[in-house]
Amino acid sequence: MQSMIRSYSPDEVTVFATACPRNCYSTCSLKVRVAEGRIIGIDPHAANLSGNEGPCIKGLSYIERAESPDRILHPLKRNADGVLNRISWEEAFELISTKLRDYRNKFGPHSILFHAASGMSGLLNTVSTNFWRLFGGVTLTYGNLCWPAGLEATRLTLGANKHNVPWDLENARLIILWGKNPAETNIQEMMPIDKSLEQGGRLIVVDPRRTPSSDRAEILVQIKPGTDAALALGIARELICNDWIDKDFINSYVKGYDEFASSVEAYTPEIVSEICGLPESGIKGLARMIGNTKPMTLVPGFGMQRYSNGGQTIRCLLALQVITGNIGKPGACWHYANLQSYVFDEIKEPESYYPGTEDRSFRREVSVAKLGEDILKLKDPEIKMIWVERGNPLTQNPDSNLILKAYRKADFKVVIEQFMTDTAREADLILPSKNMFEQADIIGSYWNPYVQLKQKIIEPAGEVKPETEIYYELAHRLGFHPEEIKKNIPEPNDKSVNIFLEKYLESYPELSMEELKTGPQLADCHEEIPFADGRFPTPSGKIELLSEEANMRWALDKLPSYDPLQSAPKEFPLQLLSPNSKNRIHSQFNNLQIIKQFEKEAVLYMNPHDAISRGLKNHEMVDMRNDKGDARVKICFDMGIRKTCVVLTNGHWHSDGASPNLFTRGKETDMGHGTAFHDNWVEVKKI
Amino acid sequence: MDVRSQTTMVFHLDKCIGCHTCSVACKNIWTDREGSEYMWWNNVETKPGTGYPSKWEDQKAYKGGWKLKPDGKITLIQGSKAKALKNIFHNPYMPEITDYYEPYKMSYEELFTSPQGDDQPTARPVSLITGKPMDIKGGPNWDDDLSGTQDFARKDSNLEGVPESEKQALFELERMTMFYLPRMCNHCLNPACVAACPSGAIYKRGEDGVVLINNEKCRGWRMCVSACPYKKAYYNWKDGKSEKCILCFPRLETGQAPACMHTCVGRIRYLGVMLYDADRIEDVSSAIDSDLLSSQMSIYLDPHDPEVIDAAKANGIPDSTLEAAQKSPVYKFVKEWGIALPLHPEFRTVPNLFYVPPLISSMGSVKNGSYKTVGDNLWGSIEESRLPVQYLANLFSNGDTDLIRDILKKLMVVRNTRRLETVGDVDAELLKDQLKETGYTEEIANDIYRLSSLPTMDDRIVIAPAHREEAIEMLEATADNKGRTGFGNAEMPKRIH
Repeated sequence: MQSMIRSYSPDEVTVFATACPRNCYSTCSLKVRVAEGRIIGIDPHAANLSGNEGPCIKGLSYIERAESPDRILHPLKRNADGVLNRISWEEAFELISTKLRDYRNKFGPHSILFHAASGMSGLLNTVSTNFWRLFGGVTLTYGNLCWPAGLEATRLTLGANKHNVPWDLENARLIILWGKNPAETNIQEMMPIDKSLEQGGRLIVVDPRRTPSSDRAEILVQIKPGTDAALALGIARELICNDWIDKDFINSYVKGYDEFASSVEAYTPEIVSEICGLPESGIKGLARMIGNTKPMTLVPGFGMQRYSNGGQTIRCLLALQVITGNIGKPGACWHYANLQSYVFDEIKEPESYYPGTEDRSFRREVSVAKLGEDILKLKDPEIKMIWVERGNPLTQNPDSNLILKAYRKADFKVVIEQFMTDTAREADLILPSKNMFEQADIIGSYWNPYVQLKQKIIEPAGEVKPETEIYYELAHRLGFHPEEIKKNIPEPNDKSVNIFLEKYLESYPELSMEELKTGPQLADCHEEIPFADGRFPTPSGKIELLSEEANMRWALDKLPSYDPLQSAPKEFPLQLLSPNSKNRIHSQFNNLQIIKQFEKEAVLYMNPHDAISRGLKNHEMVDMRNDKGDARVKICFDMGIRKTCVVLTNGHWHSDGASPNLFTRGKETDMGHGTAFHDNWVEVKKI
Repeated sequence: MDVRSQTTMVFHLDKCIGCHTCSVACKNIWTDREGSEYMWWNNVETKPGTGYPSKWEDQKAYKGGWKLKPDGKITLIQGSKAKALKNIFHNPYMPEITDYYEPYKMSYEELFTSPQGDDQPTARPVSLITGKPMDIKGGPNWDDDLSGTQDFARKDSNLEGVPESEKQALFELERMTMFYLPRMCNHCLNPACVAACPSGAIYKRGEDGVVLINNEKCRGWRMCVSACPYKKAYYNWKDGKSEKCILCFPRLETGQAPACMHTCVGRIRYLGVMLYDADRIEDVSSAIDSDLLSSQMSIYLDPHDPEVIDAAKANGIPDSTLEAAQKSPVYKFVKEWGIALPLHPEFRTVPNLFYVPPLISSMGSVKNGSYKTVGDNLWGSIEESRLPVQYLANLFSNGDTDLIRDILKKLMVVRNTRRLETVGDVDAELLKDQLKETGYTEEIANDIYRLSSLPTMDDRIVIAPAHREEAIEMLEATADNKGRTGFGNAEMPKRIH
């Protein structure tokens, strides 16, 4: 730590435009100030219209992150007695190529599991799969931890996942944040929301918790988690009964309305009130607002679709937008995911998550939702070696204890990491990983419309080598054909990386490297208000409330339906929610000193009523457990949580006390091969 | 009339989402140094809550700020300078590190060496001050997002005087509400820190009223730390000097917004110039309780008034500063529209940051798990406020609940005016009555809407170019001026070179 304020003269400072490549809605554009080869400042980039006021505290903490004393800066190998020793890259490459050859020869390439997650986005990530294809194949994961149930529900209904530009939210006169807390997870979205409110717009929040977002709403609906579909169907029934629907829109653009209308008849306010734990008058009041305030934008969160009924739930919510005609107009939008900036993807999410879309050389039989179970289950060949990059599955995938067992069963684990995460700790070989300033790449966003260049700004720290360079070295050592290497893996220099990226830009003359260097850019195909033309790329060409594909592909009801979760087991009556907080992106940033000052450790938030009835005091250490795992955690009273719900925010490392995934089970969502983390119950007891 | 200029800020609290970017941006630039780890020159606290340092508002314990003596004069609560000098080696009112929080890092290095077992090892907190393992007891906003906890909200000293029934209602399960309060140095007109400093090291600089500590002169007596009722002067344990928010003056002088404002995602901050009458500082700070706030508000002068302009010019205030004062967004919020108030005027330091009280967290009651915002009469939702009006009054208006209600009504009328125009579901007659009662016109409501909702950075930050060449070099004369406040351009400007 410095002891004096260091100031720089203007000619010592260079400013670069870049973008934050994390798995986050906001995908902020940044201006980075550099002096003497160090990052000295992070500033807003005004050209990004969906976040021109700048990044969150995580974005600002890159100054620390780039130079953290805890960073891994050279290869580390675990020796026989379990101690990590520094080794040279030469030794590391030798060790890996020997192991790769051995496993391929003895058990076939499928004995190796390649597991990449969402830690850093970018086009260069395709180099990894290129390498493994040239290697002769590998075992891959399918599915996704995050959002596929909702993506699939939207795809089945509207045909594509795109939404109005973020700043169009200010045109909405009714905004519903349904299970989303942008004040923590997408802070720049609060600006257009604020503008709408200042215009006299209204905000409703549906959430079992009182959140910083709900505090600006005029109605907070504290629903019983997992019953959102029933509430949506109940509202739909009220809308239909009161004739608060858009008949012209339905007649022109909607398939299956009549069937849908008959199916919601059962969801009377009395019944919905019982299911959702809400007052009847509240349900009617909500319907009145939704039916009579236009335009309306519904912003569903991702957490709500991480239940076993997640996809159908999202279809029910989306039906509200559809029957009120709130699609394809300014201020009227289904604001789930906007994949428009992913212009370079051949297959878009969620379909890219499904087995069958990969090269034939791959074996894709490990579900990310059931990582531990599937690794242990695989035969012919069994998994002998695991390669992890851009991810921390031991913290972030469900059922940590089972994953630990599966990992330890494998002979050899390679983990590429910047920090000593729970997963890195299980590695036999840790390779240091680049950070966002150390290699250029091109990224999109699933919220804002921009294609962005993440510039190379500084040289890699210590002995860090970007993944592309690791693969390049290994490809040569493994004797891949030089022509193939040339085609698939850039050489270890900036020029080759640029050429690799520029190839993608060839079909988009409007996106030049030179312009991308100045800031965020729009591709010509971008639509500000998608679906305004009334064209929906579904099988029928209409919005499909009734979807044959829902039945054929996922064996679900053709109509949106409410499929109740299993009821809470008697011995574990508390429903565990694990929402994201402003202090982390999943398990990233968690370890930084400046972030840690705001959130010290994993704390379990409880409604005082539930705590007091268990004889627990505020800030007491308790035993938290279910059939999957147990931990000692400190509880913290929170008056704002619905009774019988407890909250342990997502992303805490096990080394911070407790990751929520100690308690989750490996289970897929009803559609999309997503992960049903949130069907989850625990009990807490006095120690 | 002794006209001076002051650079000031307005915080629109309805817009603050508690993202802490202001605090982190400030820390990245100014307090990322050994000895300053615990300092947050800018911090954001959750209200109701105890804040940072814990219970800073409780002057019964901390003895910060001024009090009115029976003879009508004011004196520092912590005692006269003579008394303070006696206590110089033992200041009983000094906040302890635990009142702020002991800064820490996690011992992640142990994860590299600890053996693999069935359980992951836990990284332990290590004090950044002692380097030893510690228990974490607090942080810069410990009650973040959790105003509901009894340990924090219930110990908030602003709840004093809130009727018991309202207090209970506030704490009713599922009814808790909260808002965020960003705080930094108020660059007061009657700064207690300046008055308390035995070394004469603290001064209010002439051209813009920024309160600064001269590190050459600071002897680390820490009287400023205890005297500041906002606890915004901090002691650096490493170099033995005090330090505080400098309003990013090096940035101001180059036309940039302060770091906190520059990174404010919610766009809640406005920076502008206010002219004030320095002759009246003594009057204002020694006004009787009931007149205190109105008296402070009257010290700020109308920058369009020809008399004021003449007096300002006579005092050497440059034309560009006058022009900035006339366009000041702060002046609009505070004086023209009357919707922004200082924080704790009863501390009598005449603080210069102003807050637009939060309407949203005040609106409506909670029934059956839902907020209810539509009342049965004209202002029903304010009458049934989920946040007691008395609580806001204790923060911003020295207990005057009528004034808070008045401001909340004004804020509501702005929204209703827009809502009639954009949604149309507001009764036009009702709105007319509301406008009449608040004394607003539709035009004013629309002006407020535009500056609240649609401002560009240029609308939000209106300051004059720095005139360093004309500034008083106060560093040499601080000791002579230490008993005085806001000395501005009282003496003829002297060039630095």
